[in-house]
Amino acid sequence: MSIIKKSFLGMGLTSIIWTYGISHVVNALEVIGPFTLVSIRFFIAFAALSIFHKFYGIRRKIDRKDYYRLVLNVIIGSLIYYGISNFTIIYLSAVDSATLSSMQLIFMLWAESMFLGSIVTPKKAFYVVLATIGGILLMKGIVFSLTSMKSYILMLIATCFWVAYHIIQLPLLKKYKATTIIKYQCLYSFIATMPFIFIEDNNFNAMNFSHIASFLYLGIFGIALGYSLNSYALKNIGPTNTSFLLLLQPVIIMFVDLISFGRAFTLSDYFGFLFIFIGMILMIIDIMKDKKEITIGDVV
Amino acid sequence: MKLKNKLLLAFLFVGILPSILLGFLILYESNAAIEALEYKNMYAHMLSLSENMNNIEEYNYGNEMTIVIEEGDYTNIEEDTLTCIGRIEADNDYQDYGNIKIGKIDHTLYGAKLYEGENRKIYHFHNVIGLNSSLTNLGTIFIKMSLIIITISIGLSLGLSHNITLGITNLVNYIGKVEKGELDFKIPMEKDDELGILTKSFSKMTNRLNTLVNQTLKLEISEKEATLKALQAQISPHFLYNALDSINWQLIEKEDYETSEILGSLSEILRYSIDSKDRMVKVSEEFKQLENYLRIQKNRFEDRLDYEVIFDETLERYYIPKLLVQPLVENAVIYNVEKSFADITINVSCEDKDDHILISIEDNGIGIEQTKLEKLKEDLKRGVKDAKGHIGLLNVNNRIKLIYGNEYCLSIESSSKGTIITLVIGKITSK
Repeated sequence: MSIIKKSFLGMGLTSIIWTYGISHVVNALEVIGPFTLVSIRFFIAFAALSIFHKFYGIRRKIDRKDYYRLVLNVIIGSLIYYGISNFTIIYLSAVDSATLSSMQLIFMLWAESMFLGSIVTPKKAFYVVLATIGGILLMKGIVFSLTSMKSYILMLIATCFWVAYHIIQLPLLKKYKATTIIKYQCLYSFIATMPFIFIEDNNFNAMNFSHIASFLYLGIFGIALGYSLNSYALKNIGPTNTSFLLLLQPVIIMFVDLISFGRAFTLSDYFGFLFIFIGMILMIIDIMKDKKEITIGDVV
Repeated sequence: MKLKNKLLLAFLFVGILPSILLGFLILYESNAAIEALEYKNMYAHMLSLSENMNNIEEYNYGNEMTIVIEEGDYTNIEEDTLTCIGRIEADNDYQDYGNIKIGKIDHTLYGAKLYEGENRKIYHFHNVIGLNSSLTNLGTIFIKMSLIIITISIGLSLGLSHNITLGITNLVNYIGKVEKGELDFKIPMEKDDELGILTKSFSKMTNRLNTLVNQTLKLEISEKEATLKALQAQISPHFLYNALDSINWQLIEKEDYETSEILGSLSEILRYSIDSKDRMVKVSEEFKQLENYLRIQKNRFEDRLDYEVIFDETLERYYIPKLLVQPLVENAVIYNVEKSFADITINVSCEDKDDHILISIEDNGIGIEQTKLEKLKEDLKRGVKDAKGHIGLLNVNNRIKLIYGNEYCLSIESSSKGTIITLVIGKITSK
């Protein structure tokens, strides 16, 4: 199987993992604060990746000169992004959270052109705009209040930080294995967020098996596996194409809603699906036509 | 910062900021308008009802409901409603906002007013579900519209900046190629805007530059070949210096004036040939050297070679490329005198012909075979160098074309009675 196909499959799996992660986040936040959750998730992920490396061996350690980039990544990708997104996820519906996250596609394209100097043709911009609008159309109704409005804005800001995290991570992926970077990132993220376990108002006594299962899911699948697959795709198909597949998240949620709760689709939903589908197909055809387009070697 | 990045930022701010500001303004104004409308309707109802109604009545207008109660008469009102009204009365006679339940339906209270001295109370309610639903729709539309506008703005900023900078980037790449000395490439013409005009001009300039460079290069090569050939064939400095030295000793010993004269000619040819300072020489100088050359050959072949060099004095002030005629005279000697035993006469002359100079080299030798002559003429026409021979002729022809232009050329006529080579060149009055 080609690297591109592997990357696409990996990102498809990541989309499913992260989509189900939203409900686990909501569940976990019932008993602990957002930063405590970040800390626990990263600790579990670090442990999982350490075990993985124990069996499969670690290729190389992070060079001293790359530490500043790694630390910056930890601050942006772990502290800021997760802090904000965990806070907002309580006030937003799952589909809206996923939709706002999928806005990263258009932000990523812009950042790629701006900071990495990638050539973005009007054709490619059109695919991305089409798919992103499709994602936006899938959004559900919101509760009209100041808190929800703040949550939407914060989620958008978090998405911008997520984009920055990817852009900063790209040069590291050129030098190291994805799992190596993620492992160290998890370690430093855990260390940085550990004080919040004591600062935040956590109710560990109320924890039950369901909460522990959520922590494990979010740590092992959400971060250790999800981040590694995401980084693998980032390295091989570029930031924008990686983000493209995250548009599957709101689609998955919608179908889960349909199957689980029998919720009917609206006209807006149908258009949303159509736009995402067309945008995604056009983009995949484009990538397959020109496999050399946007690889880390070209853009960094 | 690169131009593309500047444009990306500019388009982004131009597109997104106003849309966000507009979105917030619409949201704020819509909210205020809804509230104002509700209050206006409510007070209008209250006023009209207070004037016309005496008994307790309920008025339902979709999501709105107004209740007018005569003080003390609560008989027609359901128990829940009474409780609610009672609570409102207890809290405040005048409320701006609050949620109550009337019957089994949630209502948002937008105003409850007690009219003093009218012996009745008028309350206005709004169905909380309906109101929240309309506000939710409004909020959703706002959020979706804002996000769509942001997405389109970014998409447009990317597309526009790409379109604008693509031409500039290509032009910069082409300039980079020229800077590296690469001139032979094609520039596609895609647009007719200012950038397209600039690219077109640059393309023309590059083509012109390429042509000039090629011409100069060809000319240089041609001249070098001519010089090299001359040096290698007859006037090798080593050969000449040795010969001169030898003759000189003879002259000293025998006081031979005839040989001395030849030595003088040889020296002059040597000086003329190896002096690389001037590319252009006077016509008279070139002819003088031709005479020197023929004098030496005459000395060699004695009675078998006769020659005449006629110079038109009116051409004194004109210049011609150095060693332009010499290879042709050399050919006449080689192909006629060296390869036959007949007596040969070579006449070299020049003539002032209107706006050009006519130089002819005429011999009465064996001539050129008809088929070879045709081939030679064809080669001269095409400017192709035939590896088998006549390189001197073609070389001279190419030099003429490169220096004077394609309208000037060398022509050749030959028969069994001899050969005439004619050079038609322009008049150049300075080096």
